[in-house]
Amino acid sequence: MQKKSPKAKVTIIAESCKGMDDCGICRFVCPKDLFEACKEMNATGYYPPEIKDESDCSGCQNCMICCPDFAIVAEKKTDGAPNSLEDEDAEQ
Amino acid sequence: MSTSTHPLKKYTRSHIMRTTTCPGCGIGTVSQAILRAIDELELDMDDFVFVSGIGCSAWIPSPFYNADTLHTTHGRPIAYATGVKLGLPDKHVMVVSGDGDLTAIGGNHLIHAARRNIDLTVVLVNNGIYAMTGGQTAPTTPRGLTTITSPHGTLEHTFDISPMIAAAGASFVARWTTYHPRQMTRSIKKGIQKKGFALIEAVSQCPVQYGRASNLGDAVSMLTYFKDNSVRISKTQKMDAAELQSKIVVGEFVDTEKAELTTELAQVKNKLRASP
Ligand SMILES: Cc1ncc(C[n+]2csc(CCOP(=O)(O)OP(=O)(O)O)c2C)c(N)n1
Ligand code: SF4
Ligand code: SF4
Ligand code: SF4
Ligand SMILES: [Mg+2]
Repeated sequence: MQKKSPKAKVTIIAESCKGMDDCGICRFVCPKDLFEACKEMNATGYYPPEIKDESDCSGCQNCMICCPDFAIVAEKKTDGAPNSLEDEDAEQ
Repeated sequence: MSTSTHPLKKYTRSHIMRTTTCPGCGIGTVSQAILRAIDELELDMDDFVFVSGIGCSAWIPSPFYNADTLHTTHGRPIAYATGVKLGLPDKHVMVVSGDGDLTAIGGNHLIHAARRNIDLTVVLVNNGIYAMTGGQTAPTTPRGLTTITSPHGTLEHTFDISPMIAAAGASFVARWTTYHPRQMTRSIKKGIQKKGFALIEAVSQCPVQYGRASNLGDAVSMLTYFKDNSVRISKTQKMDAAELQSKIVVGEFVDTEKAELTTELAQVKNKLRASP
């Protein structure tokens, strides 16, 4: 199967993350379920996430907007990638 | 090592490497929602004064934001902010603090600032508990919840903050949860732009204190609860009190224009100066 191209470039700032064990908000809000815990501990003793398969990324930026520790950057590669997370009142 | 920097990093002090909060705490999501609002409005951090009280939530602006921040005594940020706004009426004055700080010890400041309709933007982080001091019952704690100060469940009724501040006379009132960060940013933008008192109630997860007291558990379980139990204001008309009891009503409660204190005061001053 041909690989799709990701709609955002997602970077995890591992040293800022407080860990998938107690947080894991990125995994919860990603509509494509792309986040999994990595095996490597960061300098403060937490296990940050890594991205399973970036090619599936929808570019929604949920992960960046929800991460409480400013540990994810999701740069949209194309305009108009859909937002999700119950944004039904976007037109308000 | 990361190659990208966070787009909101430019608004924070470079020597502060980490947030002060526990893993999974919603406070950081609210912090981002505020900075994103300022970013989207293309405003300058130098035009802001951030005022906070005491508590986990009060650490949002100070020392993290690269702006003038005033970390005041418990319950008093609105009193300080009132002074700042009257002295420097051209500044955007934003108060960021917790439910205990702003509705318990500081409750009267909140109500009267809304009544006066002074041009402040208040982001009130409501985690339903006194988190920083170890999880004591707050006026926002749901009735019946067992905490370290209510071992048989709190017998008291709960403050419903947004409608209360709407009734007190605020120009803008909105409530969202940390499951609604985009909506929260939009309401914060409206609050900043509103000439008048604006309250944005940010219902937020405290997995450590509230999560333990309520058995809701970790951050993701609490966000799932917010997702499943939030109801838009527009949908509440058809619901009775019993149905609404365990729900979190979200949306914009008030968005109106009315006479604002600092503007009125400037007019009175000008009139008095002009008269012989
Ligand atoms: C005059 C005074 N009384 C009590 C305290 C102790 N105290 C510090 S923070 C706090 C409660 C904070 O609760 P909240 O505003 O909800 O903030 P949270 O930690 O939940 O974000 C209390 C009672 C204090 N610092 N000063
Ligand atoms: S949301 Fe942020 S802090 Fe939480 S696990 Fe994911 S990257 Fe780490
Ligand atoms: S941008 Fe959206 S789809 Fe892509 S990783 Fe983040 S949450 Fe998942
Ligand atoms: S005690 Fe609760 S509110 Fe305070 S930082 Fe920890 S999780 Fe957040
Ligand atoms: Mg609190």
